[in-house]
Amino acid sequence: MRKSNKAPFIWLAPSLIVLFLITIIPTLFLFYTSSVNWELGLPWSDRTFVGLQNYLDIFRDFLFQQAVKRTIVYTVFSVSTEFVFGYIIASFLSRKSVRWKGLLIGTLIIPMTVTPSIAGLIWRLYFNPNYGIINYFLHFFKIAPDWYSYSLAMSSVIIVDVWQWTPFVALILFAGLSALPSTPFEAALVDGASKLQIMRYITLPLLKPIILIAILLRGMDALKMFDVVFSLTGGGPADATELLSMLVYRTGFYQTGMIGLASAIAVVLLVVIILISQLFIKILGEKREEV
Amino acid sequence: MRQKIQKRDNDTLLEGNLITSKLEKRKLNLFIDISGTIIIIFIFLFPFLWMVGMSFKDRIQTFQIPPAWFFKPTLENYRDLFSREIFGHYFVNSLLVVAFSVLISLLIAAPAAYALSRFNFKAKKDFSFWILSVRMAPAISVVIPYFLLGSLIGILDTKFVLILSYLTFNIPFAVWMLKGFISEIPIEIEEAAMVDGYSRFEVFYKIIIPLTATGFAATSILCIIQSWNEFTFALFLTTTNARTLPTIVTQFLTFQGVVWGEMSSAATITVLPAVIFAILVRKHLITGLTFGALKE
Amino acid sequence: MKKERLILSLILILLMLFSCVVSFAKTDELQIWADQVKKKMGGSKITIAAATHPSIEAFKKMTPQFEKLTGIKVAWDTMEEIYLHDKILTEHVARTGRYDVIMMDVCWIGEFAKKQVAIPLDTYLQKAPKWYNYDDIVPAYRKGLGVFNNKIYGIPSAGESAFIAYRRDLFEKYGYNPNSIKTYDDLLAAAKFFNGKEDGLFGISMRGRRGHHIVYGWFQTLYPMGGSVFASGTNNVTINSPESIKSLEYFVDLMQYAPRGIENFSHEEATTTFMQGQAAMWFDATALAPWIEDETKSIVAGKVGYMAPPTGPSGSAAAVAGWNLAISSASKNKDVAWKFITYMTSQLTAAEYVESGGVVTRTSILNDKNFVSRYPYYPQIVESLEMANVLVDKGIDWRPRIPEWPRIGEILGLNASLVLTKQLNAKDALNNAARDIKALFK
Repeated sequence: MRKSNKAPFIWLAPSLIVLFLITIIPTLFLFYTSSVNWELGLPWSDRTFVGLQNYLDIFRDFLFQQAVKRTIVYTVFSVSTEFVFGYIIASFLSRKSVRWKGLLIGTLIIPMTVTPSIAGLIWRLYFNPNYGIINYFLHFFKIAPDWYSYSLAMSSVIIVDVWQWTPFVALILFAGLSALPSTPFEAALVDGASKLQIMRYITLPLLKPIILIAILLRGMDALKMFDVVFSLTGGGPADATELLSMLVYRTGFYQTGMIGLASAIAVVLLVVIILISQLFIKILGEKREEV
Repeated sequence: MRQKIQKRDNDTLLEGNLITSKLEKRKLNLFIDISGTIIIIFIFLFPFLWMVGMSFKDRIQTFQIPPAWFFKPTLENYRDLFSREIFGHYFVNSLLVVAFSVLISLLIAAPAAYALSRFNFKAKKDFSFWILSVRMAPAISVVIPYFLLGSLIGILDTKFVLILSYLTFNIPFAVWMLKGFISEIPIEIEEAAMVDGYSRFEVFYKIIIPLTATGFAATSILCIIQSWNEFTFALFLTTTNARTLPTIVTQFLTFQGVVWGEMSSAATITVLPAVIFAILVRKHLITGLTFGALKE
Repeated sequence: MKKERLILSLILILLMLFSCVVSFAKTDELQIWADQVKKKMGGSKITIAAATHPSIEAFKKMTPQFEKLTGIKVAWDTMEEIYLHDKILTEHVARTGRYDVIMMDVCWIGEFAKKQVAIPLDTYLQKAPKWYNYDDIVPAYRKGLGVFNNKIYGIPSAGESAFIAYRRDLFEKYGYNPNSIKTYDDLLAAAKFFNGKEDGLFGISMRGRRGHHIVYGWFQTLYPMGGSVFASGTNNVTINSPESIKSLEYFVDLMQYAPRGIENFSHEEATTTFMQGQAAMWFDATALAPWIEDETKSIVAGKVGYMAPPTGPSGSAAAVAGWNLAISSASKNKDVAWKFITYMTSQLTAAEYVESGGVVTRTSILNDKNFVSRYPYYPQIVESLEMANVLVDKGIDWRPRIPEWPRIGEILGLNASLVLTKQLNAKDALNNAARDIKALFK
């Protein structure tokens, strides 16, 4: 039998109880609603039990498949862009000759603290093809893209996400870079390594745990993206920016109000995110032991 | 004079050995420093400042092409905004919900963080995993059962239901962060105190907490900002009484050119508190952000 | 000579006195009513869920007077019109009773009646004061907008059909005769003609946003081209009939002459672009004409002509749409809410309503020479309403007012927008739509 030490559980009890109430119970309820057919507004007693039918329906649904693809593409693009730019900024911040780091860090904080739903709203203005400030600057380069169009709407969402969260990645990487030991670098210099080689064989490997964490945190957030899309494009035009969480919203609350289907999609989203994060944490744990 | 090549720092290595003359090198570096700074400020600061600027423009100035960089500011947008008392109402709601949610989260999370840091028990790993998963859960998935259960119980559109739902991300986050900060404190201090007759609780209360004050500050700052900006729960779980600021976007969903002033002033008021707060406490904020990353 | 003059002046004075007495008596009635309300309900508060719409702007202008007269405090929650539906529905499910008066689109009436979101108003109407005069409201609106299953669920607050606005100045400049636009083919030709004629000028501005907006735009052409959602009187889905497909193809064709960003346009963007002079024509709700003629917001005010919709191969058929004011079933102040509705939609206050930018719903106003001379588009509204009656007489709802409509609209709206953004062709899209709609009725 397990030897249990009572003490820790007293300390954990408040968290355990509260979190159980506000996460386990609702999640179980979500599983339940995903197994029924119920239209928002009709009496609860009108619901019909359909088992796993909702899941079958959504997996066969073209819209769902597209939304999954779209969400993955969106996540990959925004996270990698944030990573690349974040690394460049972090390296820049690390320069000894940059003595005004405080000013830069202060600047970088701002996009992260802007309310995402508001950011979506404001950038919608900026992206207006006719009056927006973005196209004003771009017209000097003789281009005036239609950001509201089907082909560019997703890019506009990615741009807003990159704007908001590159600083986050940059600051984390900067902290990581600052914490790196200097010995490997000195050794590499003595050996005559080039800048690129140093980055590839020393800096990046040493930063791996940090990089993984940054990717994990940003990746999970990108998969869940809702606020910005809601205000910026509302999922449009047509289905150009319909990410998974927008699909849940649209299915469950928007005109259609099919709670069962929406719950099924919500469950899929939830499970996927948790699985991926568990995977990441496991990898992270192993990486830590390596380092 | 700067001796770049000999310096033993990362940045030296990043600069490279492309140019031979020291003077040229210095000029190039200065150029890089300045242009980099300008680019960063332009990209990350300008969109924010432009929004604030718009809130002080009247309709004619807003539509000017080329845009009006220098203009005479007007307060009419803010006057219009606050004449609708409903806006002040949202502001107060945001304040109260954030304050209570963060406070309660810290109260609940701190002991849990301590336990995870100091005790070793079989279920520890599972519990940590679970707490982290809760943090990762998408709000949109959780909001469906919250909405339905909330309507059954009848607590929708109350500050209470918002405070409760915000605990789902604030508690796990606080546990995760505080655990790291607490683990920084050498266990010998506690052991010494307990030898001296302190109970574990007294150790926690009188020693750990003061020593991790900066950690608490960093954690609460991040929780405050996240809670202030929270949108999904606020959108679905409130109607008029408990609405918070981030939901004002619903009044501007169809973008009409004619309400830019109102929109940007509403946006500015929503965003400004968090931004100013963050800048004031940025040292702690950075600690929190990076610490969370460095110590998993 | 002098004597006749004297008699004439006496008669005039008597007439003036008489009308003064009459109007005084009228306002007196209102004052008495208001005082009674104040005594019983003064100090209560109601919240109204509404969309951004000229009718609401007018009501808001009339609100301070209402609050003064009755002592009732009014709070407005205004939002975008499609979102309004969702918010009202979720609020209803949430059972928080936050909304008292709700602005209800005609096509939600089936769903709201079935889900008991709004309550029947028949008993309230029976007790309405004389100066309210329910029967004065245009019959098409009374019957077509607010009634479902023989119960009155809403009072028409903004009835509308759809018509075309065109830039008289541009038509004159290029010698294009507006009267030559008689059929939908003519309309297409005109849009093509003007598109790009000047810098930043497009042919025609309409709604194209995914969802109910694009359905509104597309449906202008649906019935005149012989299409329909259901075969009349049955549940047979005909939205993928050859005629329906053709109407969608026509609409997408026409939209190539629309301003940039059309795939995102709701009525607001469609009208604003026209108001900013970016389109030669505009085809949308009659209720929005006040915006176009508002000099403070529209640079084309005074330069615009109006005409009823063109005819198609299957004849003419114009839209019947509009908004009602209804009372939420969860409201805790239903009686107070009714007082608000009474005041805002009565015959007595109708003139003030229209003058504040409201949408005419009453026959007395439509026929009032004063208003006709002030609002140049009234005759065209009457024309459009006559075209709309074509459908009403056939028993066809312009948008079927059944409980499933919001979902049907969403399905059609998605597929139509996929065709507009060239993701699908019309035939496949409408076949998909038909399949999904049929599935709703299983």
